Amino acid sequence: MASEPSAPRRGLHICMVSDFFYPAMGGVESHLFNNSQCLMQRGHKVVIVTHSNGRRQGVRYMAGGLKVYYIPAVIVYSNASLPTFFCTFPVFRQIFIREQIDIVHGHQAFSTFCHEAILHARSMGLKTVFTDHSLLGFADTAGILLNKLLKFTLSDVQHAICVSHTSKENTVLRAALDPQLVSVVPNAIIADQFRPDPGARDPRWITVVVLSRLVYRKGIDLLVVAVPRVCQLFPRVRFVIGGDGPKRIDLEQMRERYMLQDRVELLGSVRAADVPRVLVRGDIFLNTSLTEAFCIAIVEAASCGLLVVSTRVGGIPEVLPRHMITFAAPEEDAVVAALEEAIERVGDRHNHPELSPQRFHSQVKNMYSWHNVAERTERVYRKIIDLEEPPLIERFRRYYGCGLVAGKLFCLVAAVDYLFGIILAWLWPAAGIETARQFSHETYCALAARPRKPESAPPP
Amino acid sequence: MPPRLSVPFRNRRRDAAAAAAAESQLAPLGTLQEADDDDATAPRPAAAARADRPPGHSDRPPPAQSSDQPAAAADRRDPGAARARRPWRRLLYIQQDYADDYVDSTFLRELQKNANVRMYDYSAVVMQTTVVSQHISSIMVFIAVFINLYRGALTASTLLWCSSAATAVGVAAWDVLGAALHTPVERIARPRLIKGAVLFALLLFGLSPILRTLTEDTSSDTIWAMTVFFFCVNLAFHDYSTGNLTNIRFPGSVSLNAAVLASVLLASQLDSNLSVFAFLSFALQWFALFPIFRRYLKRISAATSVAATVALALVAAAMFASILRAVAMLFVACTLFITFGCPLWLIWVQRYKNEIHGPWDEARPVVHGYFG
Repeated sequence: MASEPSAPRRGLHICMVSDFFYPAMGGVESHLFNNSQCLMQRGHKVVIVTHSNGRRQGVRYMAGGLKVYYIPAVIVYSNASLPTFFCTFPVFRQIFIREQIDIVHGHQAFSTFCHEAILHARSMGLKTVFTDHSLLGFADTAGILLNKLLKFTLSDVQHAICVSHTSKENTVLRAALDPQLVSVVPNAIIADQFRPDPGARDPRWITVVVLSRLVYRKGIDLLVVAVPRVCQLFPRVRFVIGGDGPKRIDLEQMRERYMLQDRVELLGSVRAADVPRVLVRGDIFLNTSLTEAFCIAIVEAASCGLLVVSTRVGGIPEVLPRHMITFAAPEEDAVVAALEEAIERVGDRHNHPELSPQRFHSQVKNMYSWHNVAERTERVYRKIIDLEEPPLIERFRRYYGCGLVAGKLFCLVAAVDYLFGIILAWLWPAAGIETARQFSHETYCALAARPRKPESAPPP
Repeated sequence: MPPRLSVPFRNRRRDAAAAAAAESQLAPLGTLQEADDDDATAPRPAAAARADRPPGHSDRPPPAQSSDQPAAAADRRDPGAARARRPWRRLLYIQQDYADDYVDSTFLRELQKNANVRMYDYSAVVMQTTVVSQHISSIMVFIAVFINLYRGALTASTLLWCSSAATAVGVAAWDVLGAALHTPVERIARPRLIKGAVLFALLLFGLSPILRTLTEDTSSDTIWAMTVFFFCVNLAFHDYSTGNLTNIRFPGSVSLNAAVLASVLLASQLDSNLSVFAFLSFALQWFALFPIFRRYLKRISAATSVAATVALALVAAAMFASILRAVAMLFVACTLFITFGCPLWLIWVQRYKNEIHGPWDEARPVVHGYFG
């Protein structure tokens, strides 16, 4: 790992924007929270902007003095807000000026807020970074439309971050980016929350744990056919399946049809805080996803000492070393064969010292840490912060190249946004906007009267 | 056709350089490379280690050095380190001595272009266009029938008798063909069919005076324009596939509705109740029943279908020749273009096909024993 040439002279003011944040739960949400915590510990100021959720509106402070703006917005589809193009500009501008933001960092291509914030930040001449957390194909209608939008946004960001090398290739192709402008910074886990607990395992059984949303994209169809076959092959194997979704009914049908009620446990949705408790019950973790940019779940499982069996899709082959994971093609026979191999290895555990849960845990702990993620994110910030601002015409040139019709449309949108920015600057001059008082992480720690923890946990 | 290797790295800051670099990288369309185990000492070609830059180096080198650039360029900059450094590996769990934005020569190696593109056979495509020209011809015949009825060249009773006789023949043929093709649908009871047809005819007859005066207050120009629009809708949504022999499903139903609406608009321009009744019953037979007949024909024998297409086109041309020669000529030209020109066009534009696949695609699960 390359080392930072000099210690940071001044903390940067960073605004993370995404539709996906606490109280919702998921990979993006935990990435935002943990990365922000670690960046604050590194002496930066981090503000998060997301849409309001029920009664959670306005400004809230979370652990570590993390300031979160919950902006009222209409939710249209799977927690993404309604695209309004320009309507969010006034409030974003106020926040950016109030918090004296240097860098606007948007997360996730599905997030409307992220795209709008990047557009407005560029109109205001701020530096922008974009992080892509998922993969998207090129053939379906949703993919084509979203890729066009991504191209628009990424035409004028200073840097993009992807969570895996596969994700980087995908983003570079989707947004027609120069690969030099895309960094790969993986996700991480808080390893201390995912410790192995040998006592929690039932020694009479070999337990296979599945924790995933029960939807098509997670390959539940494969799970439904693989479970009865494995149960038939190995009378000592049982399954614990956590998660909920439309495919749950298929699993229930399967369980009834093959009378596996005593061997397949369906937990329903599992709260984030309970995930480690479910994981430590198992010997093997099974992931059947059909597409995955990074897959934090398998890292969590490996940290709990489980041997991982996973489909070889997306960025998964990059995530764990070979002795922790067995790959399968996304096919019924391959998944069953990989499970067979894993079950035989686990059943013969005393001959395989490399399968020791404690060893798994300490190895994973060395591989992934949010501090490392924050350090690498900071390196991206440091690289772009002093970049020269291109002239307005250069921005238009970039948008214009996005497509025959789309390019002109994008130019129009960018031009209107720029003019809107000038009007806003006339209506509410920046000098008249009160700046927020600095509230450093040290102050928070002193106030909370507790020693600084190595890594903060999300609030329950 | 060879896959095109121009990658969508256009319109970015270093367009040409990026495109050139990408092409050189894309040349080997390798398959999934097995990453070997933990130790990062696996020997790799020296070329892999050259296109990097020291961490913290501020200015950007060209996107990736193409294979014709000598490796010495990188070595000169940092002679010892370039050789000592371990090759880059596509892994996330190891800390590598490379910047996060490092682009390796293996970048996009697993990209596949036009992996499952079908090439078309000209004659096969020409045969497939007959359904389209058939439908256009049938619309033209329908319009010609209306014009003749409107001008008085065709009497309502003649049209009524002709269409009824044709439908009777068609129903008889349907029975015979259905038996020959073993269509899975159960036979509709004959008495019910006849009862339904009679009831429908009576209803239509009773409604004729209303339909005749439906658009009295609307100018004829509006009606003609709307009719053209609805026929275009009919043409666009028509079910051209030959698979569906028994019923009319979603896009096809839009098409039928548009045609009926256009027919009602046209019928409201006629001057006698009998004409309206004759024209609308003809319209329903022509747009609801005739396409089913054509689909059967196509299913039974391609040659008969081609013959029917030619016959229908000739009838349409002949009918229009007596009305307006220019339209007839235009129609013939259009039909020829659709039948012979468009297939050529389709095959030609295949060269612009740019399909990309890679490890980021959503996998299709292969499942044998799904119990549904």
